[in-house]
Amino acid sequence: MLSQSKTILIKGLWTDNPVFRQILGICSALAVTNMMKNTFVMGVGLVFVTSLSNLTVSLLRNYIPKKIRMMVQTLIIASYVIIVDIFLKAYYPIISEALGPYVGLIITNCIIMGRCEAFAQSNPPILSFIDGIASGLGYSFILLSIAFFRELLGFGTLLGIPVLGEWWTNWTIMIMPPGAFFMLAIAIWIARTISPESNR
Amino acid sequence: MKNKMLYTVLFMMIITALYTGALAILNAQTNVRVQQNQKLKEQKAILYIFNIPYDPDGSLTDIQKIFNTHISNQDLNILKLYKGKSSDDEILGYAFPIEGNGLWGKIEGYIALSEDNKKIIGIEFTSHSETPGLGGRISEDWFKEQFRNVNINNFPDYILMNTSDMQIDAISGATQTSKAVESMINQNLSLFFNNMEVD
Repeated sequence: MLSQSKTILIKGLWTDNPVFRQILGICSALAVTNMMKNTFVMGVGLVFVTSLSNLTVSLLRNYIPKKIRMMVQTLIIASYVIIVDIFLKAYYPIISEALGPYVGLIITNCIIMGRCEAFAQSNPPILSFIDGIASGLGYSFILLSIAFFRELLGFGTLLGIPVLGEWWTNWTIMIMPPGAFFMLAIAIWIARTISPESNR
Repeated sequence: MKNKMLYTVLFMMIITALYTGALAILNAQTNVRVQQNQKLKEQKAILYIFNIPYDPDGSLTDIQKIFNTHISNQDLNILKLYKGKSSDDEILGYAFPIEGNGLWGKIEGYIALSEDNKKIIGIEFTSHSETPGLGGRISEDWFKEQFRNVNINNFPDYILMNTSDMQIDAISGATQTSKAVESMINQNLSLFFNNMEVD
């Protein structure tokens, strides 16, 4: 159990990382990475939704009729996402506004449904829960690294705190969509150079 | 076979009822808070445009108290206006909501005019979807503060950016958004003045 959890964590965080290995969750990886604060909230949201959806799907896996399993998964995922959305609206209205429609769009994040289908359907609840956390963290840490450089170069700040000072000219392109594409590509490039697929 | 079908349908119905029920309860419980947040944001915006000081981190009751002593509702024809008063009970002017199309989507906000309608007292944007770091800079203080005590020209260009007599700078790198803000203000002022004349 313990060694299994460890393997799952390593897989989600690195060897089977959803972003650079499976190229899942790219839409939000491009959209919410221009400020670390928003990225962090998005990551927390995704860890929450993925782990709980995995847990629920796993608990119900023997009762869900095979034919409608995707409908049920979508329902479960959507419910957790709406919980996150309501929570942010009520307690963190400013972040909720900054993330805009992207919170609702967590529902369509392929990572969650991918993990429900690929893992939770055929594994016990606790392991599925850990798998959800691992995938969520794997996603979050890649996004946070991208956001680190985009915010630093684009705004000269980190988590909203100015670090580069007055002399720095902001690279506006970093805040805009093209910057996201460049940084994501570089992140995937670096990660795949460090651990090429052929090594697995 | 028939039993299996029934089970499938029942399963879906029950799980849907459970989940939507839980969400409905959660929504009902937080609804008041969400609406309060919305109201608080509006009140802060109106206090800001009248340049009435308040504590940005103040609680709902604090903001509400300041709002109620300085701002009152006043209807003019079909317009819903907010009348602003200074601490010495002197009428500052009137505020009303404005909206227009930005580069990516709708821009909404409030504007306040002096009592004689000759000056803009202040402007605030409550929602927009402009590019962060470029057009999004319309919500930065340096941009909004430029509109304080600006004399309004005649129809149709009540305000013009980047002219020597107006001293309102557009945002470099965000020409479209700046233009959108300019025409949004001009259109909304024109609507407002037309409605006043109906009187």
